Amino acid sequence: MNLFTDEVLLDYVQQRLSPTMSQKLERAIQNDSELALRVKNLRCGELPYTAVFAYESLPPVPTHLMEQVHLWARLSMRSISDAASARQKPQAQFFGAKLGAKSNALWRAFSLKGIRASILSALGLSIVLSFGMGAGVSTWVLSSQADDANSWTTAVALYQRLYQRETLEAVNFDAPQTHQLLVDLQKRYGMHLRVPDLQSEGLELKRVQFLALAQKPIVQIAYMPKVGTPIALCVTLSGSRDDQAIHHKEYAGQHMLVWRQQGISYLLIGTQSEQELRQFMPKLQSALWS
Amino acid sequence: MSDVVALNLPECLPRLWRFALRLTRDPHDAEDLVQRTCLRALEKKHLYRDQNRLLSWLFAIEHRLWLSDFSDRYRHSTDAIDDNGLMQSFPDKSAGPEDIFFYQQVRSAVNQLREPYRSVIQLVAVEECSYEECAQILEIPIGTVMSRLSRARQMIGTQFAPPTSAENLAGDSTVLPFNPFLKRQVKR
Repeated sequence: MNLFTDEVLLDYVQQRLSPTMSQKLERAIQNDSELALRVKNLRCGELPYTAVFAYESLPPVPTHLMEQVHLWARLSMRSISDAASARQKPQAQFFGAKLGAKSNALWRAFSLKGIRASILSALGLSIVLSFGMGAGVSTWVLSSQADDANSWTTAVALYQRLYQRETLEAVNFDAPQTHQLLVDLQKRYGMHLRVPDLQSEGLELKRVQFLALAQKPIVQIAYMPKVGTPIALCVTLSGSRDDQAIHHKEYAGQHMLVWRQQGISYLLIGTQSEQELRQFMPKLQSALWS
Repeated sequence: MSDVVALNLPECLPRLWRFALRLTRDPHDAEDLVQRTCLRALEKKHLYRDQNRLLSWLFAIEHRLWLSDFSDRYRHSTDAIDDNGLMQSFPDKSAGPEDIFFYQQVRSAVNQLREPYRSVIQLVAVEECSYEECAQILEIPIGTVMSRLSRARQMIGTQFAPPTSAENLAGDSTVLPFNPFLKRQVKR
């Protein structure tokens, strides 16, 4: 049996070996050139690794990755609190409880069935959106193939409620990316969309992006108000050609103004009151259709 | 306890990202690896027990995923482990040329190690994990950690050893890596 294992040599070089063992090793080194070489190499391999790698200038954590992880963490915590409140108040929180359970189930489904891998590779940066939409969107896809206005607005509301000011604070509007998205939208879905500039209404344009919804696109145009949580205009193709007047809905703490025009469904959503949201409508509609 | 994972996961992200970059040497793969690690951690958060070792627990998940899902594509190719490629994209000009050269030599030597040795060096010498933490992360005994660390340093040491007098007498013309660290030791 080799008395001087690699572990023992490491302890010796790092001066953690007992004096007795050290003396034995030093005597052995005198007569064993191979052992001497091992110790020599070990000493030469004692390099300032921490400093060397600390110097290495690595790319920073991508912003979208940070956003994703924050979102997943919040969603994960929220699904627990939903389930907990459902257990505490089964009657009063019936709808919330149902959502909490669904949210958990869909979280598990998303996590376990390999969906995430395909979404990750297929959608790249838009993973935040596809996952954020996961709970509501999957419900919609499973429950109805029709253009059920309740379902897509519910899905968007579940996603929008994850938006806080910090979600968009670090985001800078990316004009080239938005242009490309609009080109793709027209090419793939024949939807010609104008991005309304609502700066005069105190809404800063932050981001335009796709939300994954089965085979249909939802485009989310996110704005940051001067105060309060972000507001979004969401747009999707409608199954119906009939126009529908603006009407108000409320779900998951989100107020929504919903309407349909020329085969396209629109949704303006935020935690702001119905009246506050309605103030943006004249400018918004004129920007969309001018 | 399970909420501890979700609550603290974003804070651990920079370390997970750094470890992933050093495992994969590729920002795209690193991003994929970090995403999978975070998702796995959140779906398994009920299994997290040790309140003070979240980072080690996350590193363990990340390393396991790296071994199972990523390492195959690197196993037979050292080309993928391209230190220069990563460095050229993100240069740091704060060090002198001698230091830069030496640092590149050391990183290159570490990156050329086979996976079992490279991970131990990364965790113990770079991430400054204890042997015990490293053993938990890699799911191996502490003795194996020490043994691999010793072997890894011996392998690296062969590239940084000064020539013996016999080699000099024999006219060995091998160009040895420049090692300002050793030079400084000699000066002291």
